[in-house]
Amino acid sequence: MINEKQYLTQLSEEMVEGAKYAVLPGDPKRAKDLAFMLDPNAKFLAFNRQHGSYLADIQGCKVLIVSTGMGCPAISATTVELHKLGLQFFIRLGTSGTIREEIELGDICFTRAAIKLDGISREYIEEGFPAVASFSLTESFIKGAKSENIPCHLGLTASSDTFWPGQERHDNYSGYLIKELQGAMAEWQALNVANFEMEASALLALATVLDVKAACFCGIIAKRTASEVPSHEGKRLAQLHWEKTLKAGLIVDMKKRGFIK
Amino acid sequence: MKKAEVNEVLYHIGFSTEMIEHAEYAILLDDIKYVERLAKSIDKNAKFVAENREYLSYLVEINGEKVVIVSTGFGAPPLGIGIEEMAMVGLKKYIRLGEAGAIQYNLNVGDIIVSKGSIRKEGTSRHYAPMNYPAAASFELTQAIRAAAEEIKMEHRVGITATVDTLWPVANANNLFDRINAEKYDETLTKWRKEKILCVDNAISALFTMCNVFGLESAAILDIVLRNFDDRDVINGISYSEEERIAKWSKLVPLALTKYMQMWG
Repeated sequence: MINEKQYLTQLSEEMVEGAKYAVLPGDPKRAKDLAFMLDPNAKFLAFNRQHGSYLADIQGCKVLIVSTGMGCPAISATTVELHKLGLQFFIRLGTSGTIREEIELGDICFTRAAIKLDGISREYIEEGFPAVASFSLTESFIKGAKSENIPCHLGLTASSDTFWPGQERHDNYSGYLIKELQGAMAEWQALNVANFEMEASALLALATVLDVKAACFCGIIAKRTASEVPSHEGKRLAQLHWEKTLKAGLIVDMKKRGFIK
Repeated sequence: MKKAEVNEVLYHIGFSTEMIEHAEYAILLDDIKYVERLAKSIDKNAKFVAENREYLSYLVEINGEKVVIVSTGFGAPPLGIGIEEMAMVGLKKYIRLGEAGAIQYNLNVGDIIVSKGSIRKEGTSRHYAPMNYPAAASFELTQAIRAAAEEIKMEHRVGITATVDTLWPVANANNLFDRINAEKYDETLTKWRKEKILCVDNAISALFTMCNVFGLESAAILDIVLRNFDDRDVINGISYSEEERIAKWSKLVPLALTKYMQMWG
């Protein structure tokens, strides 16, 4: 049914107007900012739970922006709903901490593939199933970022179901990490991981299962080799960079696929 | 244990110890839309505290004690982040109000389940304790909830539940993603049914595990919103009265907290 609303997002097929692109930030405020950045006449669609939804128009091509809330369960449930409404290209955009010295605050970090430190991917795929981004979609956003001279990197991302222990932050309430996670950051560094965040693995693996395309890029707001705490200056710069990357990348991708001229 | 400065506003939850007036009790909800209504039906002088991302908070008074009502969003990861920060601002006792899908055939929509422990089938609690560590509720808080429910003659069941990262396992899959998992889910549900597991939710095993690790107390009251075996489109067909739910919670929870304060506080 074209007007049947999905349980969590409260969106229907009718409301998304045939949009193929879904931009997925975590924060509802960020969803609003991104929508109006892409299109000053963006349309507000719905607000339910942590999902704020907006529809933007880029040269006649519709882009749906929906905040997922934090974590792999939330981005999975959102993606399953949007897939039912016909969305085909999923772009997760968020904040992240890097564990590599050469990546700076404010830089954009693209995920080529993700380490599954989450629970939900255990539910539908085996442990060795790789969570890999759509290379064609990712390529468009790298081109977009480069055309805007944004400092960017491409690498492996560790997606954790927790903000503290799974990302080896020691400044949590108890100050204790279970043995299995002590020294995890050094191990991920040695295994060539670039950054930590909380959603990529679920989105990328799910996209393969659903046969849709997904990409993920994050603005770096913490240099974990130096600090456990997010930086405000880093966040300001990161926002500027992901906004430019998103807009330029969407246009590159839409042209590549023939949606716009 | 880490304690935040009294005026330190924490990054995700957006409030400080000062802003919640040194409260030690919290009522946790998943859905942001119930926070204000529940707060005002418990205490007409309820005060807005903060809103950031999925975390909306109000401060109420129950039996002379300050109690914060906070939404923590969908699933265990944002609940886990919330618990870390709420613990840092001094909150020590948590009652979670949530939704669940029934596993046992004799449960119906609207039934109340008090969970005394939950199967850990989510990813968050794995980062806090090995898998043989129990996601068990606080004895004291749970007994206070039972005593309150008995006093107002509110029917309820106490037992073991399960917590998962997916939306509730779907018995009659009717879309691509659910279909891929349908067989496995069906097996799991049948097994859990035999093991007397009552219902399945998205958060509480992470809450119970973390509170046990941190030496804090938590309990959960779950509302059955669907039956995981009815022959219909399970998720989108959910129907319940929001009015009834708020009325039920605002009757049961303040009385349970009052009883807790009298017995153990």
